[in-house]
Amino acid sequence: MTAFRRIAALALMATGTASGVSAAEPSRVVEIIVGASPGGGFDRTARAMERVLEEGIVSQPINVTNQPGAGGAVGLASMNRHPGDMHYISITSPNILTDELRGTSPLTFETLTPLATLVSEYLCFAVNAEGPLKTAEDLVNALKERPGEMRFGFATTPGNHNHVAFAQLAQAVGFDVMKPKTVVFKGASEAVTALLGQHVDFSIAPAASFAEYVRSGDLNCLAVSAPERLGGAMAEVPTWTELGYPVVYGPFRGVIGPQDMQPDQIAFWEEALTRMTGTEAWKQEVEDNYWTETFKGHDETLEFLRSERDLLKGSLTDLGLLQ
Amino acid sequence: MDTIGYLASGIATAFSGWNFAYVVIGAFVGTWIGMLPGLGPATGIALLLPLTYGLDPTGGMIMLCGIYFGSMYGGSISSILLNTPGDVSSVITMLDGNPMARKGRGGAALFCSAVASFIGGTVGLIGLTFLAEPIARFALRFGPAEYFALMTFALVATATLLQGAAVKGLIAIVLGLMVATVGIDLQSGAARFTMGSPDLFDGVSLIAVIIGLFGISEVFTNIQEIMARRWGKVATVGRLWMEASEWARCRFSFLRGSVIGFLVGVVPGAGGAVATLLAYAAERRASRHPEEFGKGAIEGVAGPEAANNASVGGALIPLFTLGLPGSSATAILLGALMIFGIQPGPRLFAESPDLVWGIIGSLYVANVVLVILNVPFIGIFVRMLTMPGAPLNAIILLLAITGAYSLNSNVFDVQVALLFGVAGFLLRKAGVPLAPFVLAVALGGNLEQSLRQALSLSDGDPAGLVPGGIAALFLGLSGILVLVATLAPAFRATARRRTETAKTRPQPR
Repeated sequence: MTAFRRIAALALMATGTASGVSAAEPSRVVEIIVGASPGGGFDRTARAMERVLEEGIVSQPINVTNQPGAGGAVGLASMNRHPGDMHYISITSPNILTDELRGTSPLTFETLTPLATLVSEYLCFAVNAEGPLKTAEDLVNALKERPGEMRFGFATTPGNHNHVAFAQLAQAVGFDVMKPKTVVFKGASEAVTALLGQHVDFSIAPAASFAEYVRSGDLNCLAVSAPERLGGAMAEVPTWTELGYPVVYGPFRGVIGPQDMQPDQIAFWEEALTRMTGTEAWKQEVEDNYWTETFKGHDETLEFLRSERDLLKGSLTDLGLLQ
Repeated sequence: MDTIGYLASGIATAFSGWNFAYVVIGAFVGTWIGMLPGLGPATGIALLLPLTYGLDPTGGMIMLCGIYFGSMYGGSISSILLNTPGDVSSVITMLDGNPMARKGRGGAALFCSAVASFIGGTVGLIGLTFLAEPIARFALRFGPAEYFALMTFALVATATLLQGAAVKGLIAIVLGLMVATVGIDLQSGAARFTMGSPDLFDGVSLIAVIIGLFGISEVFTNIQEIMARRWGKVATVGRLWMEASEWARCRFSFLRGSVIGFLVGVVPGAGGAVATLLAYAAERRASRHPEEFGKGAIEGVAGPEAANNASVGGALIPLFTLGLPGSSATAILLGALMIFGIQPGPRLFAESPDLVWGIIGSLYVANVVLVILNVPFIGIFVRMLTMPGAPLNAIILLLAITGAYSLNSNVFDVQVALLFGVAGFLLRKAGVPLAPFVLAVALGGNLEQSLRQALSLSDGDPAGLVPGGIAALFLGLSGILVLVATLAPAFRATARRRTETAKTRPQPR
């Protein structure tokens, strides 16, 4: 950050404080701890935040640290070594709820401090363009008539958002979610490879994972689990709701801080993140990633996470992953 | 424009503006990073990725590719000279490279490795340049069953590393496969042998295991040597250049390794470990002196080193043509592309030809730069061997611990490395070979998961493991290798008995 930009940012902060928006503010480097490797989805979200927040929203430099492991739990644990410290924030996803429900991590959103919800990543149900399934109706019929023959492949772990969306389709359509042959792949690109090679019949993943292959005509997206149609390469793809199946589900991405954060610290981040989501650069990021903006502040996020937890509990039970 | 035209413009891109400087910086920094234990290409690129954030996409990718090739070469330097490989693909180089260094042929091993890397890298790039389009779709024929067959073949090939001590070797392989089962099971989501610790959910870090087994246990062994006052006589610098006889022995190894490496590299997910392993096995089969392997056979350095670098060209094919990373290092390159705002996918070649050909062109240049940069340094690198024991051990230990920590900025990985350091020391004492152990850890996860994926897709019917020719080929080859290995000693014994009886039988008058 240049000296000029820093001064400009400080001036901006000063006006912010004067108008009484927030009393607390970072006094040194802010660490965004990413519980995933460089180059992955979470890392890109954090880097986008870093770029946008440094453009005059936060007066201190921002640093992204990668601490991959256990679907983000290792990163969260590392962030929580600084209770009550607003200089450590992290990105959350439904993983934190899954971990809580399955009892795999002691850190829940209620022990930590959720600061905001930023976006939802709605999911796309995709098939190989050369396969026999041409429409969402074809997929639904196949799953109803011969569920045991259908081969479903997805990444990255059983019970994750892709798997939960499948359970919700099963609920809406009325087929046995345990019948299809289900294969879990280590990463999104392995799942795409299997679909391109027709080793599986269909796959579910965030729209961005398939978009380039839909553009090139290798894959078809049959439907999306979004409340409204997505843009870009997905503009032609119907939503499940349009087709008469109430499947609306997509993992959220939010920002969370360590436990024991004070109200003025929470207020600072709510304000900063609100301003971040208003910038052009962030809007571009949202569009490029096929995200849908679903901004919620601290209180709303708490409420939202509780209702998501209930919904997830039902789906995980259907999938036999919870007793 | 035809392929040659694109390639020419790509090489021109590599020389334009600051790009040439990025190639040189990347290759240089990569070599030094790669020498550190635990910092192979994947971790090296990940660690240095933030350095390139300010650059334009072409410049940034060029620098990362320089780091990629550089760190691969750097990894072989430390495996050959210090017996501490940086990642799993340089474990194989160590098997014969380090014995060469102990015999005073360290310079020759480094020179051979540089030449092999250059030839392998070039063959891989030529393959990438001319075969990318026709070969890209071939990679898609690898489904779970095909992966399982390939992994089985690779695991059977590890048997060629056993060097006679079959039982101890099998113990090593089984121990490695056991370590590979730790973590959250991909298919069921169940935690296995994690003892409730989230640090173990993703399994035991392979790199931390390598750092411990080789780097740290090497230090323990060295300390013991120093205590027993036996230190310092093994290492001599020797003559630096390869002798004519050495050239003659590995002429064809360079080419065999290059072809094997390229082909294995094309298959997404197989990576440098399988490439180097299969190249080593091929060299041992082809050699007229198989008994010298593991004791400093130069072919054992030439083949795998060529394969390792050739696999880069292969691995870039699915990345550039389909947006699918073929190895952990290319997965990070994919992430880097996205950070630079480029969506990799099936249209990358068509939409960003300047970028893709710029990268390919710079890889050719990086390959040449590395040879020019590193051959003059061989003399200096080899001097490491003459370093007094105490400071050398302190440096290895320091680098090993730093390397383990830098993987995930996590102290847990350091603890894993130390634990495996002790385990490695004890295994060495017991004469259990470490390389098959590490390869089993590297292959075990994929082997198990692809088996279970294939069986899920066939509803548990074992016929699902052989859906087509590719799987049948690899499983058939594995079967033949096992048969040959088990029957050969029996045949040899019978043959010996026959000749002996022939000798003792009184000659008819």
